[in-house]
Amino acid sequence: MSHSHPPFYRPVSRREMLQICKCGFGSIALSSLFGSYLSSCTTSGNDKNAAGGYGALQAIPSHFLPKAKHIIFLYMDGGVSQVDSFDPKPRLDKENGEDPFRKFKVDNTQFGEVGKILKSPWNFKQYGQSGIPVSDLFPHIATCVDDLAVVRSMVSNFPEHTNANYFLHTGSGLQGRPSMGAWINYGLGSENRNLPGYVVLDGGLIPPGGLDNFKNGFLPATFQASLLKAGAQPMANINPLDSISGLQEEKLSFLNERDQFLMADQEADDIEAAIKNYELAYKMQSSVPELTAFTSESAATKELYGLNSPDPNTRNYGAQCLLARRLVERGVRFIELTCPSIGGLDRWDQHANLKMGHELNAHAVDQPIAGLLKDLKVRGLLDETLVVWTGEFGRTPFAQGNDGRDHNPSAFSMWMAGGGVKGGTIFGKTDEYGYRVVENPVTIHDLHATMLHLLGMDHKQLTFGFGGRDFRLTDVHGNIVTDILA
Amino acid sequence: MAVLELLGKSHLLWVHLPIGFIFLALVLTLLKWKNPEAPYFILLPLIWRLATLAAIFSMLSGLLLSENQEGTNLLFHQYAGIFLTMGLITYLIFKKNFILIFIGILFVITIHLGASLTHGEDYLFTKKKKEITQLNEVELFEDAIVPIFKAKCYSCHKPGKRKGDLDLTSYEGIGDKKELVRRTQLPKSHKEFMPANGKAPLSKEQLAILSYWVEIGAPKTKRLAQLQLDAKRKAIFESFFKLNENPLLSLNVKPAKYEHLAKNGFLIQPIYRQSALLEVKYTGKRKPELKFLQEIKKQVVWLDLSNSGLRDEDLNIVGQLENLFKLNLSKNDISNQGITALGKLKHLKEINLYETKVSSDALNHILQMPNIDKIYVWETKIPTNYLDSIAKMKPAIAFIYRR
Repeated sequence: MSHSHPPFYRPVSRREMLQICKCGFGSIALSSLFGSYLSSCTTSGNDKNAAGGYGALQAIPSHFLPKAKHIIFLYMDGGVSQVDSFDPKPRLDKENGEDPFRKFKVDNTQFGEVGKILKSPWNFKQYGQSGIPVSDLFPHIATCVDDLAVVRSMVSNFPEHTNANYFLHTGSGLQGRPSMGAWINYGLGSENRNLPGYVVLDGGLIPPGGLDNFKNGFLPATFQASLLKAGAQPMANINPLDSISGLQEEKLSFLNERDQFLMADQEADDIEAAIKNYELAYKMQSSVPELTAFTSESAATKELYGLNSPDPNTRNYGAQCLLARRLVERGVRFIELTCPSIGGLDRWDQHANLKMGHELNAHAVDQPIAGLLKDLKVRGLLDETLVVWTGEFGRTPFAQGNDGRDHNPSAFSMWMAGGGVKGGTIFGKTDEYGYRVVENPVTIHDLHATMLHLLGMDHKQLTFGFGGRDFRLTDVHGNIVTDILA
Repeated sequence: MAVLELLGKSHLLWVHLPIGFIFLALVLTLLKWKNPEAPYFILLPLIWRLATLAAIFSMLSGLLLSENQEGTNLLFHQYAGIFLTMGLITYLIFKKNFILIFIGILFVITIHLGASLTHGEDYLFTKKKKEITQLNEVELFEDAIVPIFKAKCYSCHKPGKRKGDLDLTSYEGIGDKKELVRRTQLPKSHKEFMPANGKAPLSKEQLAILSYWVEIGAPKTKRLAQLQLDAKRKAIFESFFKLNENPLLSLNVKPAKYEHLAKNGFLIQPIYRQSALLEVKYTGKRKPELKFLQEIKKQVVWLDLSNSGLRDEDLNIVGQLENLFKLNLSKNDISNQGITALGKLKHLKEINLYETKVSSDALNHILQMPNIDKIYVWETKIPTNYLDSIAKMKPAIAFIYRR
């Protein structure tokens, strides 16, 4: 354009004005790195309802009065068997070993190896004042039943892990949509300026579907999950590599100078994002080591979480649960725990060897989860934290082969506890075999709507414009499960 | 015909003319008795004539309006209006003072009956409402259905009016109950939709309660305590009787500027968008300076000062935050002495004191607070067996002290 009017100075265009301003914002943010306080300006997020103009590291008030401020999502990867955990079915005991085809209509299964009706290898007992039955797989969690709302009528749309994982995590069975954690980070930001608002504690197993379960999709990249690994080095380069103090700051400030130079005559989006990455990475070098050091935790607390257990998987998951509590204390919004990698097992996905597999898995998570619930409660954190325990689908009441169970999206059990949840409740009902939901089905969309509701967010209002339309986590679905709300 | 109908409807406008004239004429006539010399009394005969003229016109338009309507109140209003007009004419002719007394009485009667027709009979003297504090004490028909009818149906379906020959002011007059549900749930554009003529429709809540009542057989006397309500219905009734309102939301506080205060590790934000109430959370490492909180002392309702090196003397400022609902002082080096500064926190519902140095005295102090219902005292100097016995004595308060 400029050559068409050579004698005149070309006025600044709208696009250029925005670019210049954005460079300004990015550099302000970085320059304040070395001060005590970050003035977080960002151009990310273009929705009038949510994080636009705020940014991932700033807290954003909810739509209405929230019940919970944080979510800990305990993901039971692979699919826990409902009839062996929270949904006892005496009829399976009576008809153990009989042909399921003579009893009810059997759907096609993933592997097509339909065996006989298989009773649960575990006994159920009633616990607490509410008398909710829990199987012997979870003796520790059973001591917390009066804080749990057990939903026995979950249904999923997909019988296969990858799609079911995407569906549970993003509300869509296809790859590429934003994860629920990203949506929540986008809607509510983070209360901590030195930590991301959405953290995945990687116990060792990334669920099928990979990191796309935890991505930002079409939301701005700052809202995706940050992964923290179990162990001494939770993140790559978390300890500064430069031994001379101040050297790293010098380098960063030089880098920033060059970036400003580059941004002066280029599209600024990518550079802006890169500056933000450096900024958060630098701050995490001080916040993460402090976070993952358990030196301030008492011996009793470590014992409670199972950190002294002879089972290394219990120790691993216990450390993740303790970390989750510490993240909640630091104001992180959404924390997902993936399962520990247990030798010889493929998560909760017991197509064979149900007894051994479920027992090892349960032993790894049972004590740490109960410890987490009790510890959150006594510190007053359970009131403001929603704890969600679920797999992506359930398992069949009949065997796969002789001693396994196949996938079953027609019914599974999950529970919630904490902020705004009515403890000691059972919601929904399956048939006498635990095969299909017969009362009050709850979809994944309903679960998402309920989680957002407890955070004070209207799932219909939390939208992001992309590709010419507004998107929601719940798409065009989602009913709040009011019966389990306190 | 349309002109006549319009004229009839304009009765509500014209009646105010004779009201003004008659009132003025009566007052001036009374004044003249005391002091007949005042110069402005020359206008009095004119005012009387104008009053009569306006009354005649109002009467005629009123007769046009009442053509297709019935009801006792209407009938009395009509007769009173006619007699009043006749009284005025008689006075103009005979100028006898005793007629003024009749005019005065008829004047008041006509106005009152007219106002009852337009504003409803209980506009002046509303019956005092029964205060509902618990769902169990709700009498379904009396306390829920009648108020719905009153709000949305009475204006047409009452003894004075009886549109469609329906009088909803008594249980016996209701008639076909299923028809009530059907008509009120039709699409608004349907010609049988009720309330008709664009009057405010029933709210979702009111519809749910009405259809529930009809569903269980429209009983005249049935307490909610006698009925098995599921969670959804319970929630509907609770919101109808405004029992679920969080006292936090009824706090009336002016919004304050707070953005400039959110520094040095303080997170300050509204408890939700558009709320004037604030939550304050300290996330810094050094001991915080709390003086600034006085600037927003009415707005802060949630305060989290956990693990921030507080001392007893810092609680003097906290004690001035009169609208605090939730206070977290855990992991601080504070003792009983600091807690005594919190005595004025009359709204406080929840206090978190885990890992502090408070002992039983502080607990007794906290129990004096009128609204306290949750106390976190794990890892304090209060003996567990003492807490066990206190928890038994005060079952309405949650004591959390055991992991």
